[in-house]
Amino acid sequence: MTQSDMKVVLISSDDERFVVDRKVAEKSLMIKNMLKHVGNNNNDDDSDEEEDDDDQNSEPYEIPISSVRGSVMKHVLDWCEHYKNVDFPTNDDGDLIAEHPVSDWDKEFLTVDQEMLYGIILAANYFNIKPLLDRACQQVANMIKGKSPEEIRKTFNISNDFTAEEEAAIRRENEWAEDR
Amino acid sequence: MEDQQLVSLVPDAFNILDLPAELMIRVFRYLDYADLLSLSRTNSRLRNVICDHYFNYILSLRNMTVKYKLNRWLQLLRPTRAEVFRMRMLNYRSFFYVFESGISENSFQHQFEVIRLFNAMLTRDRLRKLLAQRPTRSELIVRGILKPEQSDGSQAVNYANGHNSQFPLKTKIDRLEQENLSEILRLFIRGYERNRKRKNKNFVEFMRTVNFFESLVRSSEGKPFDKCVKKKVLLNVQIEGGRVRYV
Repeated sequence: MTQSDMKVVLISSDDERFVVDRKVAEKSLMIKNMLKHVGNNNNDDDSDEEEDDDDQNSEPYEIPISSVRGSVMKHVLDWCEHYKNVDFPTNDDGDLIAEHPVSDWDKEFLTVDQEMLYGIILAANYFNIKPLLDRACQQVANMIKGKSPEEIRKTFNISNDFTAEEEAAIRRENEWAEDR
Repeated sequence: MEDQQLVSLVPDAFNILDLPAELMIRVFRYLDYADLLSLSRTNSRLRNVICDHYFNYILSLRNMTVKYKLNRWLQLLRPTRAEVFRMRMLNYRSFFYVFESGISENSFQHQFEVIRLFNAMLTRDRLRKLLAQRPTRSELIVRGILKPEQSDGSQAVNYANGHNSQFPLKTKIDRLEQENLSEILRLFIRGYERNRKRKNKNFVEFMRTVNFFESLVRSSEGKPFDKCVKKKVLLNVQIEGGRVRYV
């Protein structure tokens, strides 16, 4: 059984089972690291305790992801599936080295309601999928861009917790940036 | 787990405040300063996060913006190069020397050149004003220094030809000079004549003595006066300062 053929089962918080190729699941650095340590390979140094896992190798790993809901997980796995053959060069921290242009598919993928977008950001952060996280963040930034504070408040349902004096002080402080 | 909690707390609408700070900053990465500033005006928590992470960025931007605005504002007040040129505060040569000599516009040399030029221009301007204070031609005519004139052209021609009839002052000077010269000549001639008279006087005296000696010789020997003797006598006579000495 080769690595790419291996299946991984991801179980969401609402007990939905997602069976995906290992290659797809490894788009997530978190799952990739997890699988590396669980080990699929007898020659690994730390494979002593995994001897009994060898029997289970025919069966896919089941990974419970208790912090991500099924609907969000489905979306994220869609993204992984779409980009399974694309290699995003990253540095050691998993941050992207080069900017990748956002494709039309990405735009369509991210035109979701705000709740889903929020879920995707958290899930991408949890799974450690930097390309997806960056794109989602960019999407949020696009929602903010070019809006007045009042419009931003409306868009994101933010409460205004400044007093009148504070607000006036901030406005005075920011005067230099007016009519740029 | 923290994440679990967060997911369970997902509200109906996306609320950026629910994001952990590190994810907020990930979002802010894609915003420019104007958006960051409007964001910072919405909520105190957002403001704190933004001020914590972008303080230096916003400060430097602020300095740059203020500088840029001041520059633009000053540009409105300050005449453009073309205007300065049109006002003839900058002459053609210096205009091209400064602005097309490869010295970049903001460099120190450029500033220095401009200051030097403006100083030169100020001096030139002052001199020109002083020049404008000199009496006009009509004033000179009124004062009698210049003769009234029909046209400027004829004056120029006359001046070129050396006819000074139009310039009373000049003719006066010429006359004075001529008078002076004639006076000198007269004195000189007088002196010359006097000298000649004196010489004549000496010569007459000399001839008288010669005649005296001749008569002496003639009377003593009774012979006619020999030319050789006359020569000898002549050779022995020296004229010193108008007096005759017989050697």
